[in-house]
Order: sequence, then structure tokens, then C-alpha cells
Amino acid sequence: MAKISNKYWASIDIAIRHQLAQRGQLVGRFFLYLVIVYLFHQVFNSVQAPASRLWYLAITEWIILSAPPLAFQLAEDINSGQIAYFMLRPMHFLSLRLMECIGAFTVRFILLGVSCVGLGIYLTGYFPTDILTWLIGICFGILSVLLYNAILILIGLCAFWLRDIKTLIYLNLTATLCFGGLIVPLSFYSPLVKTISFCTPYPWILWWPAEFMTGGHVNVFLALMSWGIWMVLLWGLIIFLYRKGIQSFVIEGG
Amino acid sequence: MFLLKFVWLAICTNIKLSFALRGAFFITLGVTIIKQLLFLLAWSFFFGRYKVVQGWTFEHMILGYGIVCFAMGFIEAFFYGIKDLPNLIETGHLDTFLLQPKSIILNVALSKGDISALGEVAAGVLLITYSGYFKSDLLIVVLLMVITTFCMFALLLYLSCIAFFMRNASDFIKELNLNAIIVATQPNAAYSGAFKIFTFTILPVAFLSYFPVEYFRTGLWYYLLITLVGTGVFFGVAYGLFKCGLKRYESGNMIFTRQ
Repeated sequence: MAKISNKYWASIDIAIRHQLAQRGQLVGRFFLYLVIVYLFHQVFNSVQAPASRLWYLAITEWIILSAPPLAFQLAEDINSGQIAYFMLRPMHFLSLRLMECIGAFTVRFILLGVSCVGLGIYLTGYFPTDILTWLIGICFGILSVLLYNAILILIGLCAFWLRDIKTLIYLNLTATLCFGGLIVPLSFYSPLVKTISFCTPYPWILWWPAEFMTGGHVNVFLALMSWGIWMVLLWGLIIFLYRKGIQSFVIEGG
Repeated sequence: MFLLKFVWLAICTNIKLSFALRGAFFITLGVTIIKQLLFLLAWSFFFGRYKVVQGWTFEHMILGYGIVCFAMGFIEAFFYGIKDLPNLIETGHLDTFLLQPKSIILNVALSKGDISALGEVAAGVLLITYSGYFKSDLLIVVLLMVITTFCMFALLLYLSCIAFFMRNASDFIKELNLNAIIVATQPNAAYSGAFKIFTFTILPVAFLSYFPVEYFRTGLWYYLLITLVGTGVFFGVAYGLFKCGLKRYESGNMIFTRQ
């Protein structure tokens, strides 16, 4: 048991070191975050939106930009045939990739979290709620990224049947933006679109933690239950598709 | 004449390659259009609440987004290789292009194409049509679509050239590309102060959406002229930067065949 946990810990550790070594990417991500939040600060200022709107956006962007490109990685492994070599290792392929993703996510989440708090206070001049609410909110944020990763794994596995998953990834990003309430909270939406949004997993990725951390009204029990249901559904589908994919997988060349 | 023939043949080859997977192509096309519509759905609720952003209505936002979408789609469909330039510089694969008696930039740009990006082109045309400006100013809209496509090409070339001056910069440049597109597709009129100057100079995305939309909003020819001259100057700067960077380029001494 200890050995099993050790090898996964080692995967996380390596991924953290690898992410820290890719300074260019980290700096780029930091600038991306900075530019987006500052840009929306100007947009919200020009329409005299309340400062809590900026905090909401800063949190949603923090969550979404912390997620590593797991789907692309899986698609690359499948399309290049690399997945065959992972089958020979004493580690489950999906678990390995997920652990690596968690390692990269940890670095990004901390970097962008610090940026979020610093930038939010600098631009709005206040902190939206108390520290305890934020700490709980951060836990919700971590859970929501796990749900987002499940969607990314599902998209990545589609590469077994569709070679190019780029469009699916962009569709997922736009669905997250639209149904997850990336720019504006779901309370702005019309009743129909709001209902449609709540039938998708996306509000439990962005809206839930961001609304909670900005002091909005969130039914935590309902949110946790919906999160759990979506996790079970998505992981069930992932395991099913993975087995099907491996069975139908044909490697070309060596 | 030779150059035009080369461009035409390269585009035809890319189209043939993309059509080899016809099913995937049409799925991608449809999904891309849905993706753009979802993006605008979210913005429609924002404009539903706040109505106007510094004089820009939702229609202006759609027009600006449509123009950028068209330009980006066109470049990705036929000149995708330009996005790959940082990688070529980093790995020393640019050697292959330097040895050929063709325009280096054009050769690199045409080396790859992603015809599924035609979905972006279609979405761009749909959005511009929806904004209503196709009916009233067809010629000007078409002219601006051509200018902004050149501007987009210049922007990608300009950002890719960073790889000549900075080691291991391809990831950073990818993020910068994303940054530039995000800055260009938000309601530009809201930008002020140093950030506005930044979008006119260091990251000149204002020529992609701000000036074209301002022309339609105000009807002042001044904005059209700035778009035209600004794009020309920016293209010159990007080309100069590429030439300057090329002098710093170190060959990878790699012998391989381009597939």
C-alpha cells in the first residue's frame, strides 16, 4: 500500500518540479491572468458594476487557468501510440496522468491564488468575505478542478475514435464560459438558460466556488451533492470509454 | 507570378489533406460555430444587464468579434504554419525553409493548414451579417476583413519572433497569442489609460477590432485610415523584427526530410 501511494506521490512531485522548471509557461500564465483580470476591471468600471463582480471574475479565472491541459496530453499519448508503452508500467495510465496533472495544478493554483488575492485587493480595495469562508471556498475550488479534470479526461479519451480533439476542447472551454458563468454570474441569465446551465456540470466548476467566496447565496449541500453525482457519472463513463478504447486501440509502427 | 502559384498550390494541398478526414471536418465545422454562439450568449446577458460599454452596444461587440473570428479562422485555415514558427526556431527546424528559394515567411506560414478553422471563418461571416453592417457597408466590411487578416498575420509573426531573442519561449508565446486574442475580442472601448496605449503600440490589437468598430460606430474615415496605415506599419515592424531575428538564428545542423 505504501509503495502504491509512494509511486503516485513521486508522480506528483516530478510534475511539480517539471512545472516549476517551465518558467516561461508560468510567467505567460501569470501575465494571462493579470491581463484578463485588469481588462475586466476596466470593462466593469466603465459600466459601474459593483466591485464584487471583479472578485467573482478573478476567482473563476483563477480556477480555470489553474487547470493543466490534460486532454491534450491524453490525446497526444493516444495519437502518437505512446499509450502502449504505459501499459507495460506498473502504474495505471489514467492515474499517472491524473497525478501529473494534480502536480502541475498545485503550482499553478498557488501562483494564481496569490495573484488573485493581491490583484483583487489592489483593484477593488477590499476583501470580499472572511478568511474562513475563503479557506472553505478554496477547498470547493480544488473539488471543482477535479470535476473539470474528469471532463478533460473524457474529452482526451475521445482521441481513441476522433484523431483531432481540439474542437471538443474549445467547445468545452466555451461551455464552461457560458454555462459555468465565467464572466458573469448565472443570476444574470434568463430562467431558461439558467435551468439549462444547472443541468450541466459547469456551474459546479466555476459558479459554485466563486459565488461562495464572494459571499453570494449558495446551497452548499445541493452543490456538494451535484458535484458528487457528476463525479460518479463522469468517472463511470471514463472507465467505460477507457476500457472500450484500449480494446479497439491499434498501434501503427513501433 | 511564381509566388502566387506557390501560394495557390500550397493552399490546394492543405485543403486536400484536410478533406481526407471529411467526417471529422464537418463535425469540427459545426462545433466551431456552436462554440462561437455560446460565447456570445454569455456576453448577451452581460449586455442585457449593462446595455452599453463606453458607447459600444452588443451589435458593436458582435461586429468586432466577427471580424477577429474571420481573420483568425482564415490564418489558421491557410497559414497555420506561422503559429508553429517559435517551435521551428527553438528546435532548429527553420533550416529547411532557409534553404529553399522561396519567401521564408510565406513558406513557413503555408507549411501547415487547418481547414477545420473554416468554421471560424463561417462564424465570423455569420456574426458580421447578424450585426447588420454587411447590408449597409458591404465594400468597407470586406476591405476591413482583408486588412484585419493581414493584421492578424502580422500579430502572429510579431509574437513568434520573440523566439529568436528568448530561449524556450514557445509556451510563453502560446500564452501571449491567447492573451492577444482575448484582449482583441472584449469590448475594446472600455480600455483606458496605459492599457489603451499598450493595445495601440506594444500589443497592437486595436487595429484588429477597436478601430474597425469605431469606424462603423462613428462613421469617421479617420478610423478607417488608421486601421489601414497602422496595419501597414505593424506589418513592416513584424517583418523587420523577423529579419533582425534571423540574423541571430543558429542553425540546428539537422538533416531530415520535411513530411
